[in-house]
Amino acid sequence: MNEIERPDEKVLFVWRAEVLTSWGILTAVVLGCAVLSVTGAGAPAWFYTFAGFPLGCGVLALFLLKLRWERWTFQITPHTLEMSHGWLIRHRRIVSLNRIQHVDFESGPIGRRFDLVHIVVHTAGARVGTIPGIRSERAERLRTELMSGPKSL
Amino acid sequence: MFPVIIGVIATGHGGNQEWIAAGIAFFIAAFAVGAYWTTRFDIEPDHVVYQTGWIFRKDRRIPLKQIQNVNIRQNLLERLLKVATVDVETAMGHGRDLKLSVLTLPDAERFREELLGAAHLESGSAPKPEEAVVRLTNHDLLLGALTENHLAQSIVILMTVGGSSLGLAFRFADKLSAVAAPLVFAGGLALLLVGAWLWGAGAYYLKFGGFVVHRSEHIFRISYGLLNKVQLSIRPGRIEYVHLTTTVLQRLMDRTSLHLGTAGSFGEAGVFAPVALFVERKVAYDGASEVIPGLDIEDLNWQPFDRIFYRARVARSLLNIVVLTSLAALLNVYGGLSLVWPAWGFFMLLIAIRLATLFLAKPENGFAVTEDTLVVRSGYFHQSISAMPIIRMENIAVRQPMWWRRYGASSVIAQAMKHRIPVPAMPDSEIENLLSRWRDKIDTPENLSLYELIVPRETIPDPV
Repeated sequence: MNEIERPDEKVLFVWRAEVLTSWGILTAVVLGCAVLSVTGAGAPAWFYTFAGFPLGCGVLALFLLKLRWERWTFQITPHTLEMSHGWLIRHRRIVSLNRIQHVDFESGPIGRRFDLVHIVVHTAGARVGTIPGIRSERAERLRTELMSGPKSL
Repeated sequence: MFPVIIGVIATGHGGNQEWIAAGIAFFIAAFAVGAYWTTRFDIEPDHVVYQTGWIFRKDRRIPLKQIQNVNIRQNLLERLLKVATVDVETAMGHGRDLKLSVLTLPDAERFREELLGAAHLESGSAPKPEEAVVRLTNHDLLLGALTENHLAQSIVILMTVGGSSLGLAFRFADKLSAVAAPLVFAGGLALLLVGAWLWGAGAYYLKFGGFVVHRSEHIFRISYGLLNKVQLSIRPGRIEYVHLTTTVLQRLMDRTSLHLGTAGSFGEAGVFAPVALFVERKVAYDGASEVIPGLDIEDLNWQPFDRIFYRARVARSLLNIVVLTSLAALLNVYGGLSLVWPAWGFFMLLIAIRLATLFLAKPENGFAVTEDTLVVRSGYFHQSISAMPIIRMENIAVRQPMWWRRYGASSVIAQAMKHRIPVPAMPDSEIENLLSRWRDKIDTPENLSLYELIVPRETIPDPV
């Protein structure tokens, strides 16, 4: 039985970048309005109330990412792949190794900079899970382990 | 082709349009003829071969071992032309992996026989002659249609016809006296609901008319449909999901319907094959225990869903009430719309009905984990019992919100190849029990051979 593993800590950079891009547009809009209000053509007060809320969420999300990383674990047992993550809502998914059909690697520009890939596991029925942020060399070995099926009968 | 021609005729006397349309129609027709001449299919010793394409050739081979279902369908046009479409489904692809259109019906049936026959020979035995095991009489079909659940149709009617007639009603309401207006209104609503129900029943009647199930050693053959004729074939060895449904009225009559799901019956958006409609409960239970040996629904050790499930549902309803009420109050202050409060009342009624249903269903809601099967029973107006053999499960997902932790319960979804079975709140000890039984089974030689049968290992692509 393999030991319990977790994603590479550098995956935090990838996640942060994701949060920043998704909130970046909103931030730009709010900043634009703030600039306008300084020059005199101010946006109404309710606008800031509504815009401030998602902005606050974004900042909060940045801090919660560390927690997310701490909670992300996975383990290959003789018969199964077990993944566990989530703090507010705890998710556990157990996949039978002999039902795994194919394993994909996905990586974005930032992930590639840190030599990280997301491992996507498929069975015949569905895409059952994604293990985020694994070093590509470890990912290769992991894929071989996942694809070779159960270890002993 | 027809829309183009109609479009040209409709747009009138434009100069070259007729010629352009004729040209397009000619090319479409030429391609259709070309496709017709270049499409070939054949059954080889261990493959079915399908070749098509004129400019871009396509050659598809499906190992006979992989074939899950062979279905024959006829829509209304096809029935008028006396032709049929054959769908061949495998576990690997997405629904119809092979579709052969415009075969004459005898040809389609012969092709299916050959295909299934060839696949049988793989498993080393010849099919026995078939006998009809379930036949739905007209009387039962009618009763089944009337007692089924047609809530979806009713809601559609209420939202479409109901909405516009409400507008009309308001216009005429002030012409009636204060006593007559609500009476007329209630009468109209009742008529609408009855109409919607009858519409749903009629649709059910047309869909399932002539329902017959034939059974041989290797195959269930199900055919039904008064307008669109459907023939489904299921191999009992591929069944991974059993689903029994009963509406309130049917429960009073002690009747129920049995549906089966195989690994390959997907691509049909939630439709899996009905094998017994409106049969006596005992017959349906016997059918279920025949396809999942050892499953005796009447003798199960039912355990209730954890109480957090009901608390969470009630909390969500309360939240909905608070949000909707404040929204309505806000709209009332700023908009002053006369329809705000009736709409609010409608939503409150829906929430009340949902809560009432939840607590009506509570005594019978529950799950059971036997040595080989997970069974879940839920619902009141439309009660369902779903069962899945543990050995068929591919993955199990457990979800636990933070505030559920002190109840020691989680929600669980067990997924087989195509069907999933959810348990909304299961005590953690029972989850461990289910997981350990599953772990014991997943790598037994029996399970491996089961899987080889569905997806031969050599077809799994190697990592690149």
